[in-house]
Amino acid sequence: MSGTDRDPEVEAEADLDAETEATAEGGDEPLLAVEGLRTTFETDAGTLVAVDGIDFTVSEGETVCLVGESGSGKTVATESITRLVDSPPGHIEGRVRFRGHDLLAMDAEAIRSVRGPGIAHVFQNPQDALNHCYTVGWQIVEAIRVHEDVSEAAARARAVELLDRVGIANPSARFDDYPHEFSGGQKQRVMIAVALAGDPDLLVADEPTTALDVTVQARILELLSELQAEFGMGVLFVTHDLGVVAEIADRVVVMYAGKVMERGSVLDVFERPSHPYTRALLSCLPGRGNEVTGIEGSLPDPTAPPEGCRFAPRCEHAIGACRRGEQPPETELTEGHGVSCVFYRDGRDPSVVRGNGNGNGSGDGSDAETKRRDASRNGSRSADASTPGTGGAEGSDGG
Amino acid sequence: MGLPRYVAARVVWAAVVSLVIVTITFGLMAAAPNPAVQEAATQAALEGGDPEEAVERERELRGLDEPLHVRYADFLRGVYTLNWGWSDLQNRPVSEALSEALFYTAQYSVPWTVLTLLIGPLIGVYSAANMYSWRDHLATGVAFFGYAIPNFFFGIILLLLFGVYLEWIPVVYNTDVAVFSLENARQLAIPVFVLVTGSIGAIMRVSRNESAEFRNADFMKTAKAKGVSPLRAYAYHVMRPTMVPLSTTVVGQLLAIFLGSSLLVEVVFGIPGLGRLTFDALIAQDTNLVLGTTLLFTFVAVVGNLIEDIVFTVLDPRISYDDR
Amino acid sequence: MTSEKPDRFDRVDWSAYEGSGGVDPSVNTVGAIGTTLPLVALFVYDRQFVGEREATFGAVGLEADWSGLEYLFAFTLILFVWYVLVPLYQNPRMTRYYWREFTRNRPAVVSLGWLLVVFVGGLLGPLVVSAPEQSVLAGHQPPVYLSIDTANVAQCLGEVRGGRCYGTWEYPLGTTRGGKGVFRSIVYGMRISVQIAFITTTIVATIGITFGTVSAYAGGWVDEAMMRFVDVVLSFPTLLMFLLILYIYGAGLGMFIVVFSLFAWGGTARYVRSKSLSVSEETYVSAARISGASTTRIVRRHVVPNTASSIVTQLTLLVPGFLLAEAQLAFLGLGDTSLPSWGQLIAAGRSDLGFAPWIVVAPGIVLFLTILAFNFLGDALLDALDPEAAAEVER
Repeated sequence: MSGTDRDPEVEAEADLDAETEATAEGGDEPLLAVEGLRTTFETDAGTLVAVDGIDFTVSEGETVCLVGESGSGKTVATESITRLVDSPPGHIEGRVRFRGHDLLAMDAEAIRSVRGPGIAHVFQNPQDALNHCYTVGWQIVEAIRVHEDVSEAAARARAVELLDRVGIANPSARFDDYPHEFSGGQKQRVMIAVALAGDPDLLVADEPTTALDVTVQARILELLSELQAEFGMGVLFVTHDLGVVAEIADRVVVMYAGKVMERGSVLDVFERPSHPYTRALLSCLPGRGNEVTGIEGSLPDPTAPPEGCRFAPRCEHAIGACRRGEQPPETELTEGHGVSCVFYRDGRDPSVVRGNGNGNGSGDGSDAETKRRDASRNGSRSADASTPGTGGAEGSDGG
Repeated sequence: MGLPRYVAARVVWAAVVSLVIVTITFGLMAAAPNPAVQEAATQAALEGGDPEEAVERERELRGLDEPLHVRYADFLRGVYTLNWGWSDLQNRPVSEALSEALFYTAQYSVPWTVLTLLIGPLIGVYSAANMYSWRDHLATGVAFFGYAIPNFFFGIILLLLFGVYLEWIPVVYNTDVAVFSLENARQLAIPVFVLVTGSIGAIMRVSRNESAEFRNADFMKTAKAKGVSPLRAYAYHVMRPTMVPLSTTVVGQLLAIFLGSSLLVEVVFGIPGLGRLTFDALIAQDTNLVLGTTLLFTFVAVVGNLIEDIVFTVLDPRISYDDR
Repeated sequence: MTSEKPDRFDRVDWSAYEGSGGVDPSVNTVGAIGTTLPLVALFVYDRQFVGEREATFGAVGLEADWSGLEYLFAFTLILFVWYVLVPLYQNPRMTRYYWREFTRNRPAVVSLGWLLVVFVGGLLGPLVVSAPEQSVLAGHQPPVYLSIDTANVAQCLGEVRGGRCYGTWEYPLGTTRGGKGVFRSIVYGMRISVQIAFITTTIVATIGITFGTVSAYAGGWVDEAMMRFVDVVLSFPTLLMFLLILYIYGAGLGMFIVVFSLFAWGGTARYVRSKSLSVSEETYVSAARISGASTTRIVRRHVVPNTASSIVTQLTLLVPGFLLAEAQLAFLGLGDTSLPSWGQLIAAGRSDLGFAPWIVVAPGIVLFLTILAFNFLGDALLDALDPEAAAEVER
């Protein structure tokens, strides 16, 4: 914030940029490119597949949201990027290219130099993410001095500045306070300061507001988007809260049971949700018909995932083709909007799942679409809107 | 405020505890016939004198004819002014005998304590870092062996093996060698080893189990995400929080062994330290010396508990001083 | 559904559950009292009608003469059967669950096996094996398959080959200087160890649980004062206090047990108190209290069962300390020398260590294994019964 003592930092930033340009292979390669990421865990119950071959990219300065129910592998996916997953029992395959380098192929020391200055993390629960035995200042200074050879005093000055920047009042006094002396929201701010200490290019925020009060959530989100603009970071944001997604995302990746179901710009996903799972998620939003019942059924057993589409067992539209072979390959609907669903392939009629046009047996779906619009427009629930849609659809499907 | 007040409160409490123990000790002594008085009576009877009269004389000599509260006050004054009386066995003041014994006890106690404090937590954390590997199982095995084998028995066996059969170490403790000499190190190696194996087990186990918890804590993930190396992460983020619960075990463990096993180890190895002095005093029925050694050990225990309390509070930043 | 509903559903008629007197003598209590009465009768008979030097069971031809300690031991066994074994039988599901958890830990199962051997050996051994007897001629006999230079034995009971005397099956673990069989002495030592374990455990558990729950439920300054008292008790250097008492009054096994258990309950009381406080915060206890259950009922039905598992663990880890202390004192020659304990045996063999190491080694290993078994068992119980308590018990 203050102009005077930021000079060294600017220099460091310039260095990093120069390095980046030298090492990046192509000019248009995204900041982060994840290809075929697959993370498995060896457990007593067998091999648990948490993330099963997913791809996505994050460009410079862009916010990508990873969306899905709890347990769909979002967190493991983000932690696999910088190999935070303990191995063993974890095992990570695939390619994670960050500024042209494959993070999964790096040796331990090289990956450590990426953690912090390259990719920083903010975790879900600020309560335990800070070590209770050290002052918050110490923990920020550690993040600085692990990577940069700066004096204690300089690191302290920068830590105080960071605390100030993330909105901790009276930062130089609070530098010497312990985590338990901070509230949950303040702790998350400190965590953000820790993440910013290395001046990262990519910030991975794993449900950073879930554990916080609703009022605090909004302020943390606001802070994150401010900082993103200021530091020019790419942000990979994990959440199950679609309201948050609508607010901050540029692009959305919908995950279910370790697989990508749908991806696209925030507009694509909210205005033209194409995968039944995405549609089911959206219908769980308040005022959209399904908020009471949620999505029926539960996530498949990660040690024995079902054949075919992972969502098929819970899908109201599932047909025989959904339960065979592998997860259907992605079909690109429009530029950047992809969906992994058999109804968009082999000449099947996508309107069955989209719920427009064809009136046969999918009236509920079409209703839902209109209802969503209605609900968001006048903010009230119509009588039909509160009727659970799934029951009727199942009935008609069987007939 | 805060810490100084807390420490002051704990010190006052330790003084109260010591007073209670001293009082109970006095009570025990006062309620029982004094062996020296009985001996005087026996002596008088054997020599044809009047036992009654001899008892009176002896009681007067030792101030036992005074009323109880006067004796209690005298006793307290004596205890707290370190005027602990005359040792008949050693033929010198008790305090002098104690300080000389302390000199020998310290020679093995200091290395034993230092080694325990260094090695115990290190192996424990290492064990946790490699949990369920063969190294962990080995460390666990050593830990269990250490605190299950009776120290005196282990001492005898090692003395037999290295002293008698292999003749690597002297069988008889030599008080004439210099403190910092190779001979001294040789003759103290086995006692220190025996004591370390005894005290290290519990400390290893506690640090292993506690650090296992911290090893998987979220803040370890934070540290990893910051780019901290595993070694540094263990040294700072696991070791430091482990110290907190460990601090409550260490002092207790060391004290228990200091008060119990050191006596045995000194007797087995013939070291003329405090434990040996206590033993000799008991055998020789030297009341003042028995009392002196008991009180000294008691004070060590009280001070140890005081240190434990303070260290625990200082180590855990989450504890506010007003709580305890 | 019956039509006889209470007027208010939140008022449970506890007398229906507890019997009219408010005290509810369970099967266990009835059983325990029922078996204690004959014991008391025997005690009275022993004191009143049997001469001091006569054997208690002389009338039925047995030679055993029971001391006060034996009665106490028998009483603790009764309590053990009715409050530990019978409840395990009464709750087969719970027992099976714990057993399954427990058997995952193989060293612990082996340890339990060894402790059972010691227990049965201590209980029945003296009935099967005759007491070790002094016989100077049979001194220093080596264990079977081992040998000793004939110069060291007065008379060799076994084979003599090449100037060496070999052991016999009559004394499988050899003999002491006085010709007492080491094996027999170890079996008789088991009895001492089992007695120490049972009696101290019972005393510590009784005082600790009572003190802890009373303190937790009294609250306020009573609680504060009681906990300060626990602090003092825990600060006492027990071994030294015992030495002092021994010095002033002289002491046998009974005094040893009393002194050591009177100074050992502090940790249990502290633990029970903190657990009671946390249990009483639990919703189900509030529910019981709101429904009008008495404090006594809450303590008996909710607090004690919930602390039981941790107490069991703590006691398991306490017992080896007592056994070790007894052995140490015996070794120093400060114990009751007439007592055939393992420590006495180790002490007795010390002077002959150079040529007859078995006298020290055999009981030493037995003692080591027993302490080891208790530690393994405690560790496994910690895992099986209450993983949360792990950290607290160790403190």
